[in-house]
Amino acid sequence: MSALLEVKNLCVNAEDKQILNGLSLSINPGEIHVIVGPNGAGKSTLSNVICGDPRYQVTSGSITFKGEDLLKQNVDERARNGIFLSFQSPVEIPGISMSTLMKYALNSHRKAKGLPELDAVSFSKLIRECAKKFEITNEMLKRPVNVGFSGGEKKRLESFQMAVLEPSFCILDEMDSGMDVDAVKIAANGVNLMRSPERSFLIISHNNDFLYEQIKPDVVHVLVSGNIVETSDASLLIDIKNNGFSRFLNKGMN
Amino acid sequence: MIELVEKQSSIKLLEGEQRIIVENSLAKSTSVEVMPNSSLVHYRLNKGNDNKLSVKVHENASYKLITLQIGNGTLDIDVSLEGAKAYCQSDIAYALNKEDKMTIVSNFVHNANETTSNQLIKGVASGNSYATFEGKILIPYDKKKVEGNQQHRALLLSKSATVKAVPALEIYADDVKCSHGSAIGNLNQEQIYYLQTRGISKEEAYKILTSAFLREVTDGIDAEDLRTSFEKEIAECLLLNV
Amino acid sequence: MDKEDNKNAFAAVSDEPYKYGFVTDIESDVAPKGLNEDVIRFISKKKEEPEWLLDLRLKAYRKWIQMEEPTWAMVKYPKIDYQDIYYYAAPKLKKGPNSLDEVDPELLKTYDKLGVPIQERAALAGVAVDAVFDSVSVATTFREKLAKQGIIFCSISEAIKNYPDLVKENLGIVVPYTDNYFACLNTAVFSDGTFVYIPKGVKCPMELSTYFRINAQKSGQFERTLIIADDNAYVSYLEGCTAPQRDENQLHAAIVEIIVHDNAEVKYSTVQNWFPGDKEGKGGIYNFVTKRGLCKGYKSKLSWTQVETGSAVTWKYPSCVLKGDESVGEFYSVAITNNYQQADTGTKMIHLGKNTRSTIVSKGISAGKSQNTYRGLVKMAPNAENARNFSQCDSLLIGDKCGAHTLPVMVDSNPTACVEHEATTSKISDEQLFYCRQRGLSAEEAVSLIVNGFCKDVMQKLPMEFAIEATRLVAVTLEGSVG
Repeated sequence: MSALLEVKNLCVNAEDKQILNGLSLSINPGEIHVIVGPNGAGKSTLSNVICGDPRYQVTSGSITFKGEDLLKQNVDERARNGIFLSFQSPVEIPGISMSTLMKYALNSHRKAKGLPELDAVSFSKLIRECAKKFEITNEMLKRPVNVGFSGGEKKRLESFQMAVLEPSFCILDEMDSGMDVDAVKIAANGVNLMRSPERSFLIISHNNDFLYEQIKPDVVHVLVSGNIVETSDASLLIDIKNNGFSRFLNKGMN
Repeated sequence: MIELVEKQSSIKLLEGEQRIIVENSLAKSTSVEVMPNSSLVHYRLNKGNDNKLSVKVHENASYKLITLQIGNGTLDIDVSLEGAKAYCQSDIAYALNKEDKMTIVSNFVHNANETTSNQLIKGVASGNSYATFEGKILIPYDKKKVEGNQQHRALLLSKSATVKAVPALEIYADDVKCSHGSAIGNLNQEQIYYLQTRGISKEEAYKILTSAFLREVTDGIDAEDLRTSFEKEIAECLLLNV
Repeated sequence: MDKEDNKNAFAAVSDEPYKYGFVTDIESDVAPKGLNEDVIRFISKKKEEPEWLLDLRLKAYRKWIQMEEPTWAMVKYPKIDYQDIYYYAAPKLKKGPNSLDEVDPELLKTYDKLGVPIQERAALAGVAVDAVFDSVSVATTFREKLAKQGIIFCSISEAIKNYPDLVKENLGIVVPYTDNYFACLNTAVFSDGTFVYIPKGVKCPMELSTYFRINAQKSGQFERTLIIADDNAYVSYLEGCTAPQRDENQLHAAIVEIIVHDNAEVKYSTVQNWFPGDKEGKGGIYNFVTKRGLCKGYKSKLSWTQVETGSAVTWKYPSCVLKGDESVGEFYSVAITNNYQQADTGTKMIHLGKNTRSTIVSKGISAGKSQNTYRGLVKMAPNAENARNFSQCDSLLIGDKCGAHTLPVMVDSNPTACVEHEATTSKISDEQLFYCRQRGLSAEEAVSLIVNGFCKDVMQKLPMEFAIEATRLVAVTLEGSVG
């Protein structure tokens, strides 16, 4: 089976500082990967680079998505190709409701697939079905994007968007940082509801073991100093829970 | 250590120097230069005089000004942020009464990237007085990562007092975050009522809340004696019992 | 790569061609070029005006030649040669069309192109239209329907003939000719405009609207509008204008006067897309307008709502004088400048009466090499007991070659009155752009969406028909079509 996402020897700079040092990673369809590591290791950088955040410069290496050179595509092209980022702190956009944003986003996706725009009735139906899955009320959909919502509600809204746009690859950035147990449960629920053999997940995490009771990841990577120093199955998480990151810290230095 | 400075027309810090100075007797015109990596905390009292203050803040330097303007007179403040990461915090409290006419004009120019300025101006006008506050923030072309904020709040205590506010933003660059706000009016009636329900007379409530209003500025003074003397000047001017 | 895309999205703001650029070739009946007492007499005679009006025009002209053109606004433009303008141009028509059939078919075609609903379909939409073309009113629709309720909706020229007392009593009350340089010029040479009178207790059943264009070369347009809402009356008035592409600048110095009596309400909405000048800043209309309303009575209410996207230079301050106790003034505005446009606009709220209220919401968007200035005045007079004002002025900068300036003035002389003003200036945040693009929107779509959100508070205040045109206009001014 060919990989959905293939990262090879990726080196990435931000503001002239090197953050990723020849990172390689391979994710197959249907897999759930988790990346853990100490702060400043480069975890968020990886997720942002895959999405095409212009603040980061790729100095060498490659990223292939669905067999295509991802680095040749801009942010929205990658999004329309099936990449979705669930933000750690989703930004507010005053004056634009969530429904309006979804209408434009969905129609952009559909246009790229050669499909006509969704008519108002079908769109409402779709939105309501997806909203129901994540306990999003009509009132929440009418409010300006991310304005006045709690952390947990924002995460639910990100998951709701995932359901509407049906991406093939979902990156969940720091999905458990600064969140209470209930909020983590909601985020995990998002993953479980969206799991499928055609969809892969990359979860950037702070190693919250409550999270892993909810989601059973297939692969776990440890990221230290801009490189993946160990890859294994979910049992690696137990190791880190018991022993911390110390045995990996030296491995990070090349 | 607060240094007392009198009628100085020029104050210049050495690189890396940190000073706290208080001026209660002012020259007609004072220029201040805060050299790179230094920091100056500047307290001033201007009572009934015309006065001009020009400040240059250089790279990575910080300038904090707390000034009290009482009665008649004008105050002209020019601040230019000349080097990256220069920072300025300017707090002005003003009080006037009887037939006083006061004009405060401030001009803040961000001549370098990554500079920040914050201004808080709070004033109280009573009697037949007329106060004018004109505060401009100018951000020239091609500046990046600049932040400029200005808040002006004024209280009118009598039927024949007037406050005129002219805040201005002149912005020629886009990588900026600027804001200004100005509110002129009266004390919060709910607060007055609250004090009355605690047995305090209306007149007394006005005095308490008025002094509290200006204390947002004077509380920033890190020296108790100086703070108290500023509060005293305000109380005298506005006829609040000390 | 995306930094480039974002830059290009911003660059695309000026790529949409002005879609209303075309010219109608109709014989114009023009006055000799230039301005002097003879031209004024010519205009007055052509319009068959009464003596008192000619007197007023001459008085204004004599005052005007002594005045100096003001220079305090933050706009720069080449000196206007006032002698190089035609002050009167009317298409040759048979004397007064009684129905649409009698209107020159070429003109009707012009209005078709512009989308002016002058035909029967306008009846279904419930919009009455007074179409002004080159200084003379061409057709007024639905006059009979409105007349049944006593509503007068006609051209100023007709009102002067048919309702001389009403006009004489009210013209120049709110904006006297001495008010400012351009108001003085307008009073001397005003061509035509709209007159509206809503009688006591009548709520005008349909939105009133006027479309007008400047056509003939170098014909300045000096419209004069007078709207009177008597006690307990209501009217919503829409003003929208377009203009053809030209190389020489064209001056537009209009006056709008509104008088609102006890318990009456007037809503005045404008969607303005005058030709803004081409990409190099050539051509374009100078829009110097004096708009003012007097809230004369108890609980009088006046709302100004505007979306300004055109003109090379815009200089206007729709204002309210809140004289009556408990009167209310509102100003909602979106002003967009692009390429080399310059705007110095805002409002004045003068609180004279007790318990008066005013609200100002101004959204400015600067792009290209333009300069966009908000200038406002809120004044609380000594007798304005308990008056309240709230202003919110936000500016959005698109690109780093434009400027956004906020210059409010607040004067409070009453201790029970409150003035509150907040302003912010920033650019579209990179985070917002990235978020929208990560959801699949292109950079241009993202900018358009965010800008629409920025203007939401103002757009909501527009009457439905205008809200749709206005949203389209914002998109057209800033980028390609929205997805």
